[in-house]
Amino acid sequence: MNIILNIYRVLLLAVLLAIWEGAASLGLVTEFTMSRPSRIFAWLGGALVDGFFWMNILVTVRETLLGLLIGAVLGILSGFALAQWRGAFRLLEPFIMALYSLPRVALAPLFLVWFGIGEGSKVALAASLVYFVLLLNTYTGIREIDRNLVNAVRTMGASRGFIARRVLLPSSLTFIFAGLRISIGLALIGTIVGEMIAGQYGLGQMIARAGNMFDTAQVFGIIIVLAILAVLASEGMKLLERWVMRWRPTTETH
Amino acid sequence: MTAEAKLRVEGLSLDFGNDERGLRVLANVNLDLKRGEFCTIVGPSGCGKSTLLNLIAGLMPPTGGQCYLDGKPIKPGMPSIGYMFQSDTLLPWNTALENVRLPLEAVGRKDEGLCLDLLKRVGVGDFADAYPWQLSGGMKKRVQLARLLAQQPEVLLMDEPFGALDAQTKLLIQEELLRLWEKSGLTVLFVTHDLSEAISLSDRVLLFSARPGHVKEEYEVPLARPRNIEAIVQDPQYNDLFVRLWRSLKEEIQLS
Repeated sequence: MNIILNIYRVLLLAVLLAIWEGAASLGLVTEFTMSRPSRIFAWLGGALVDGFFWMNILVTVRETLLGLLIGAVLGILSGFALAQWRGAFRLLEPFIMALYSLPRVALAPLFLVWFGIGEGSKVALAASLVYFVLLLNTYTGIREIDRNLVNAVRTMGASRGFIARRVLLPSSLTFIFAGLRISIGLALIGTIVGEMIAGQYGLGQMIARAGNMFDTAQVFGIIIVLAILAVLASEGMKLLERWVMRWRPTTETH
Repeated sequence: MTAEAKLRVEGLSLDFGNDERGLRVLANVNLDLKRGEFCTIVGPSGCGKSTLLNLIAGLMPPTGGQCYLDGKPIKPGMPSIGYMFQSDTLLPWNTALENVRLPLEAVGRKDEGLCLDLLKRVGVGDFADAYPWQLSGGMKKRVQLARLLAQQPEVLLMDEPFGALDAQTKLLIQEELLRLWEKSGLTVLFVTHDLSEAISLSDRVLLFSARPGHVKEEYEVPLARPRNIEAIVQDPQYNDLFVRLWRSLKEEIQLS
């Protein structure tokens, strides 16, 4: 079933690329603005045997994963803490919502000043995007918990730490993973925007340079690589989720 | 009488909100449960029966009054008081056996085969490695019963534990509970709205009034132990008690 579906997907992609290529050959779209698949793949073919391109991929992947990890860990811990101390959440809620709603890429210039022009500022920007999503999701996950589940374990004489570990954490994992799935895209946005604004390396920096030179084939080529990275990261996250939540009904699908 | 009470509830009351529009949920509830007694509370919905159990277990503080276990004030989270909730409170991410082990781990006790033994005793030994979603409603209740016993409590608080089960499953698990309790010497405070359940299980039935809840009447159940449910329902004393309870309960329901 899945094999057939995948064949159709590949066919659909091939048809779209053929139309694009054909339109470019017939002059229906300007090659200067839209490039064409054959040129994009020719550029990719060259870039993939080039150490420089791989080094940039590695930089972007490293920044993204580090930003994801730092943002997620801090976000989950903060969400947990705020769910325990409701008073603190009520005090901080307007500030959290203000920061959450703020387009955090606007913070990029500040992060450049604070964390330098290197990888630090990109990691910080990615983490700042991830942090609030995980904070709010973890907080909601713990708020939505079945109170009787907590009460039942309380009557066993369990400590708060035991309840946090055995009840609150597992129960909020659904929300945490929902946040993590969104966060892959957010971390990539943070990293790429950070690289585009300033820096030396990374796929964002390459896109910025290629754009300045009107090298649309290269821009498309890098976008394809980014799309593949995003898909790989999402699949990896799905596998992690399935493993962590292996207690769930096997019939359940997402 | 007072000295030998296993569980003692003294002048317990609870108000929600403290102005004149506030709601009085419980008004001066007094109970004494003897060691090894099976006592049931029946009453109209919303009369505060479940709230009473929550107060005894220390899950919320009362407005007034105090509860005692063996003459000592009850503190929240005492493992010697076991609580079985109306809803399913098995942890979905743990297997049946892990769930039964939970009360041991909560207080740092080691499981030396006790938990699997308990699962076998309640008839679900073959499902030790199953997750709750793989179990039927009746099986889940059995696992919860095993978990309750694993806690090694002295007093059981049971809040309509079998309310959501179908009639046949309910009868089976009631027999199971009787069988386990008769050998255990446990003191049980059981809340239900099912009069036949109240009569067939308990030594004493307390009838709660409409809100604000308090003990309105008290009935001794004159049926011999050990009991078996088929025999009980044919007993004329059972029918007589059922009718008396129902008449009195009906008045309270019409008031509420």
